[in-house]
Amino acid sequence: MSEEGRVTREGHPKRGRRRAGLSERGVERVLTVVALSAIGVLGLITVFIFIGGLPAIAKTGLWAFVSGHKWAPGRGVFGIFPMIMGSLWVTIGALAIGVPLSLACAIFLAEVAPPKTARVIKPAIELLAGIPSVIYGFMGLVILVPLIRTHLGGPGFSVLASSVVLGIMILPTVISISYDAMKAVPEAYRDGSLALGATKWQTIVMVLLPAARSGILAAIILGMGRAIGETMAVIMVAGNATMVPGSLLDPVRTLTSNIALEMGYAAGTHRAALFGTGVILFVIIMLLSILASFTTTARGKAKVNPKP
Amino acid sequence: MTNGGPPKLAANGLSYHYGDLQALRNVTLEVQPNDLLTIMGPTGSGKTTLLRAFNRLNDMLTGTRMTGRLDMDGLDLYGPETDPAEVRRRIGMVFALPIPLPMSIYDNVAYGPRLHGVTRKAELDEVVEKGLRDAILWDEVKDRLVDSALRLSGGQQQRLSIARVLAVEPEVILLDEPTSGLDPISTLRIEELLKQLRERYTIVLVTHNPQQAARVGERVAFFYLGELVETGPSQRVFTRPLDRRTEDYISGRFG
Repeated sequence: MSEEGRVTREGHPKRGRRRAGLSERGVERVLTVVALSAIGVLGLITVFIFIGGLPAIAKTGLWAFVSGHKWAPGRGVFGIFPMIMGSLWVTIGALAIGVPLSLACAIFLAEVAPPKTARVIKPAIELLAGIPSVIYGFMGLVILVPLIRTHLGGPGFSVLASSVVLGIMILPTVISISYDAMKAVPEAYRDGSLALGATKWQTIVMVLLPAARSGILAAIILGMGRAIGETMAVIMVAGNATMVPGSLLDPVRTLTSNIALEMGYAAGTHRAALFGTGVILFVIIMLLSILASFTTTARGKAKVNPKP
Repeated sequence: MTNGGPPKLAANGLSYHYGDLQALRNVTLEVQPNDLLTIMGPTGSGKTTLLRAFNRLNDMLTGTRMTGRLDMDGLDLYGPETDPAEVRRRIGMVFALPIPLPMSIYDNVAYGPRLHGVTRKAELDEVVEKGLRDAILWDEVKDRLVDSALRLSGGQQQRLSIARVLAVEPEVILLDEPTSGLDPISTLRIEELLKQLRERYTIVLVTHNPQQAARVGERVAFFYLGELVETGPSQRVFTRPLDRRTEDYISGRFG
């Protein structure tokens, strides 16, 4: 506080304090309202989805809805098991392709590449995040799908095609967050490890990655969220058949695709069943985030106290 | 103190630049086996640069330039055949701020031996205990080896850093102002420790504190603005300095 300010305050104690107090409290209120409205919107979405979806789930029965293999809106049969498996397969596939690539790239940028190279490559990778998903889908449709059809067999529209497209789409997220996590590891750890005669690679594996672990896990979780939620690109390359995929080359329909494909013309119970699909998606994503944050903290603790 | 063989460490006409800044100017210096050399000098005199050059830790930096030659046992440390990781194993380094790696006390000490291929648990246990005993830390931590090293006090962390270095059985130990962040009692402990260790290792201690140099060093070297001003037995340098700048420094006129 400046000398001048204090004098003013002492001269007009009430007015000075009230003014400061009013604007202070005003700002606090506005910020509180803004913060709460974000939660409010989330709450409203939740309520809306559940109101829309629960009747269909109740009518079919939760177990029948979740485990039913048949999706035939025309006959009033709503089983979304194929879509649950579809989302699962595609997401796992995307992570299997995207995560190793991303980590390798992040390690290269953070530790191996000369700073100048990293300064060029990193923004280029971040630019990938700005490409609309329909473009990724289109590239998959005209290049990947025919490639798979001719070389590996099947219709080409498949789990594999979706996984590859999604794997590429999550690269920018996973790379830039895990890069930041690695860059945040104190320089002293590197020096400390190298000074003991560790090679660069040993330092990366034994000190750097463990120290950046929580950031890297966060990166993977965000990538997973993106993969589960992505709709457009997947619709274009997945084939969208409502059956449980038996192999990587089978067509697949995800939960999000199911909603997007049919919502346009659905009515009545069909419409409610699509909302029900949303409810299940919502629950799955919730469970995954809880699981993810749980493993982050649990592993963080475990790593500090490994057995001697 | 020459005993016929090549010096343990030697710098010959060493100059070092960070970009336009010259950190070392034509430094020539020898450290004999089992010597305890204390390098003193004010901040910015190039002491740390010299240590990091011996340890090849400056390899990581870009925009630096080095001329001159550094030897260990008469072998060029920067020769084409020399493996920097092997150099760093044989020349241990303790930093100004203690660097506990983010793992347990045990794993910190076992880190180096594991890197160099020790995997048997019994053997690791032995190396860890020996390292911690040599660093006079064992009694304080023997019941909490699984605790995170980050929970130790500053002085303990610094002794842990020393234990970690000892565990890889180096021939030379470089210490870069190892007590600058510590309280007087922890500082005394580290100094005691160094006196014990000098029987088995060649030690180079860098300090910006002339009192510490007087307490610990057998031989001292005074650096000023990247230049080696003078070097000699500690007794002589502190009582009859040859150079005016040394005299100013040890009498506390700067630094």
